[in-house]
Amino acid sequence: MIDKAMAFGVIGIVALLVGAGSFAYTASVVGGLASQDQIDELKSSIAKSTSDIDSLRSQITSGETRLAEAEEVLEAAKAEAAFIAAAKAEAQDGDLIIYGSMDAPDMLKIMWPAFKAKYPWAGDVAYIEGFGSLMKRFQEEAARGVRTADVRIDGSERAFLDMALGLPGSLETSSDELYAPTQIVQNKLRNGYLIPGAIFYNTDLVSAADAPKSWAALADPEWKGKILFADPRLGTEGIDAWATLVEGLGEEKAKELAKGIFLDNEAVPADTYGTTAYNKILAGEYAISAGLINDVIQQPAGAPVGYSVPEEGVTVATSWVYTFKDTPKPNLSKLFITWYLSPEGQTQIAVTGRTPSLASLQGPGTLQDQVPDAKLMVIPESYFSDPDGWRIKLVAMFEEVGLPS
Amino acid sequence: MALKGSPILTIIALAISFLVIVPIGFLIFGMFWTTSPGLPGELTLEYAQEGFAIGEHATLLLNTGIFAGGSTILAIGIGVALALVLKRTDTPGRKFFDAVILVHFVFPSFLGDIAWTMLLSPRHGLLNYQLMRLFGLESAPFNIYTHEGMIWSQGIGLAALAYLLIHPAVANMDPVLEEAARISGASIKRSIGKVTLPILFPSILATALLLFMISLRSFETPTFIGQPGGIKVYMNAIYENIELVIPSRYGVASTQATVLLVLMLVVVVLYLQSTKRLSKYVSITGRGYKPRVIHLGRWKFATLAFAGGYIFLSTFMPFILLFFVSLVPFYATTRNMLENMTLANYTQVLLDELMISGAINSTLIAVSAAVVTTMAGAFLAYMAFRTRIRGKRVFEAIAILPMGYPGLVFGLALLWTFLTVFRPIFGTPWALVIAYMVIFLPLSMRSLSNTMMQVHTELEEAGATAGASWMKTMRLITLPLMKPAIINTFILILVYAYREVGTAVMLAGPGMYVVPVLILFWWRSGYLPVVAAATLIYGGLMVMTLLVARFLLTSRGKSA
Repeated sequence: MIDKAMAFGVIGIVALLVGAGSFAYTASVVGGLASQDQIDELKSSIAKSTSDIDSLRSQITSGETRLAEAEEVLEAAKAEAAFIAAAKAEAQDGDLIIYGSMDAPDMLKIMWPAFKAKYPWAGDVAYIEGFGSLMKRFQEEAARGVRTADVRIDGSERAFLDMALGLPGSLETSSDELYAPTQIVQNKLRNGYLIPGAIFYNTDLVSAADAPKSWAALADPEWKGKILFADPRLGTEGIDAWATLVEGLGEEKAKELAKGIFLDNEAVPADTYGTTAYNKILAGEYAISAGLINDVIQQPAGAPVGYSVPEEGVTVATSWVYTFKDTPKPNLSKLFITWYLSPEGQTQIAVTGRTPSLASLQGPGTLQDQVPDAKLMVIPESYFSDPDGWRIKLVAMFEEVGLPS
Repeated sequence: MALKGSPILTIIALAISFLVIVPIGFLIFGMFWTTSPGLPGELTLEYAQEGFAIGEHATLLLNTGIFAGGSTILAIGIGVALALVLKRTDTPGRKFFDAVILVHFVFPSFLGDIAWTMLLSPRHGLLNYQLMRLFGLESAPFNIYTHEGMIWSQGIGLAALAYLLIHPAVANMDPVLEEAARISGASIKRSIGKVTLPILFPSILATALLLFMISLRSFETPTFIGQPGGIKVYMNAIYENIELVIPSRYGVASTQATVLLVLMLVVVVLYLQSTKRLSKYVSITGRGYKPRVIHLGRWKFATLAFAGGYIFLSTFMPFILLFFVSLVPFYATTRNMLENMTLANYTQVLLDELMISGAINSTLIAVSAAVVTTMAGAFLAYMAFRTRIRGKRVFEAIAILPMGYPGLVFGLALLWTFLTVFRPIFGTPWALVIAYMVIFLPLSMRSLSNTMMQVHTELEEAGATAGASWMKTMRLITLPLMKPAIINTFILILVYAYREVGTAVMLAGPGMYVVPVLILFWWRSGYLPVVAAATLIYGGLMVMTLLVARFLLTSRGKSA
């Protein structure tokens, strides 16, 4: 590294030399004091000095750039240290509060201990698990300025309702660059994990070879009276599932599917596209259903439920993670979210049996591992801005097909 | 000895009523306010109009009426018969049955519904399956997913509560009128029909009213049994506006719930009118009484079969199923589950540190809530039946109102109340204690009123005439007479507070877990065998607490 003062000194000396040379040259031309050789020598000397100056200038510029870079690194390190120090101070000031739809045992026994293993000073987490009622509690507490969740983890419709009320805080994390732009909404919501859905079957009642391999196959008369399937008129899980199917299959095919499943095959309408559906297939009450494959992946060894990946594609719902804009622990919240989205955090997400949203992550539990090469059917973006519009649309679609309300 | 009135009594009654009225007031205000009560907004009629505009009113109300009415009739029928059998006859094992019936309350109410679907589902019901195999039937003989199935599951479950509320009145009956009937040549059957049941009329009516209200606001049976059978009740419409519509329309749901409440208020007014002349039903007087035990002869085996059959269906059957499920790694009727029995589910629950802190929290909160609620109920019952304070029956009516609102709606009302009026205690255990008091006050009131109605004031008047102070009369006459009902009520509220889930999710502070919420977590995660193990372990804790409470309360009484 060149010292700045020394550099200026050198420039000064060179400038004096150039000045002296110029003076001598001028004097020789004007006064005939110098020979041609002397002039050439001087010219050469000036050229060399000019080159030296350029070289020195270049070195100085390079040095300055490196210095700036070093200063940036230093500033970043200082900022990081300040961020960690602030997070530490916030951790000492009480537990981080998280309201989420993730199962409490998974948060309390897998996610938080792994986070705490990296940041032992992070303290404890005060976690409440819930869905609609908990979202309402969060919104009511936030509106009244009562101490509420620092971090929220929730499914699409509830996360976007919080968004519509302006509750999530804006932040940037060092993990952001790992994600596609569509996985980060306005620097507020971040896609924390995926929830892929497929066709379930009881392996004691249906063999893997015979199990339906496509959504359209559910309309096969072979399955008449044997299906339990989510109905959008009975709950949000059915709305999510059918909005995704309409988006993925197209409206006409989705109508045919609804008719085939419910009208022709007399499927029992369910308010679930989740664990309850899995339990009914496990119990043997129904042979076939559809739901979230994580239930099958997490099931005890030997349990008789399998899933087949529909050739039209698997449904993929998303879970989002975000901070509360007025959280008194913005740094600790950010630290947790940064870790949650990092390869380390996403690996722990896979340990809970969920599907990491970090596409570059390889290995067991990832989307590629669970549904290799499957086409993905994602929930339509318009659903986030107008979820009730979708409910009305789906109810109308079912009525049009001829399904009794 | 009816007190003419006292400012202190009125102030206490007003304070209790305030706790009930505020959340209900928020709900009614919420029907006409564009945002949540307590937040900036504007008046609107939109929610009220939408609430009244739901389609299928007639079908929903008819289904609701059939479900609630049928369940109430079944529960009252079984409850009254059980009370008579266990308290007034020489049926063998009646003390055992009386104790065991409490075990029914140890299980969350939805477990009864699940147990019945496991037995009587036309697709995989264990009982249906065995009957079809034994008799070579082509189709299942029973189908739980019907109106009858809903009434059966709800009614069987509620009958235990009916028994608990009615049996003190049966046990305290003055036998003089019955004896007169018998001397006049009336048979036991005629004596019961013409004398016993009419005397019990106010207790039966009050209990029926309460059970009807519980059934109207019931959510579990319509969800677990009605919905798969395509049977919709009024609660479905309310549920739709809270859980199905995005964003939730609490204002509309509140309107619909208030319509139900108005219907219930009509029933309450009819009830208050019918019990106005209470002296007609008094059966504990100053003459001294000792309820006579009816000797049934050979018929005692029939009553034994009835009581035993009920206990088996309501308590042992869910218990056995639950115990079985707790020992398997997964519940799958397509497998021979006996092959893979395991204690791993119990290990998982017992080693869970959250369960330990949850059990401590649950016990402290439930015991505190039971004490406060029993005292509040006793106070209001005393006000209603022992004072001449103006508007005393209004307090009685107010106390029953929380039972009129579905838990889904009332939970939000309590959240608004604590966030607005009682913010300093929001998130503390005291918030839960007060919330439980409001929710369970109707149970406490009804349970104590049933007995209070039957105790004539002449005993207390005799005490006063003999120069005893009000306090002394209370200590030596009123409280000893009320003691069985007070202990009964305390235990009932203790059990209900132990089981409460919905309120805890809304009001418990972050990190403050109670066991029912932890069990709900496991339930959502799909770990049915772990849920079964946790429920049985928690049930054991509840039974131990109940036994300790009963021992302490009765031994204190004896020493006094």
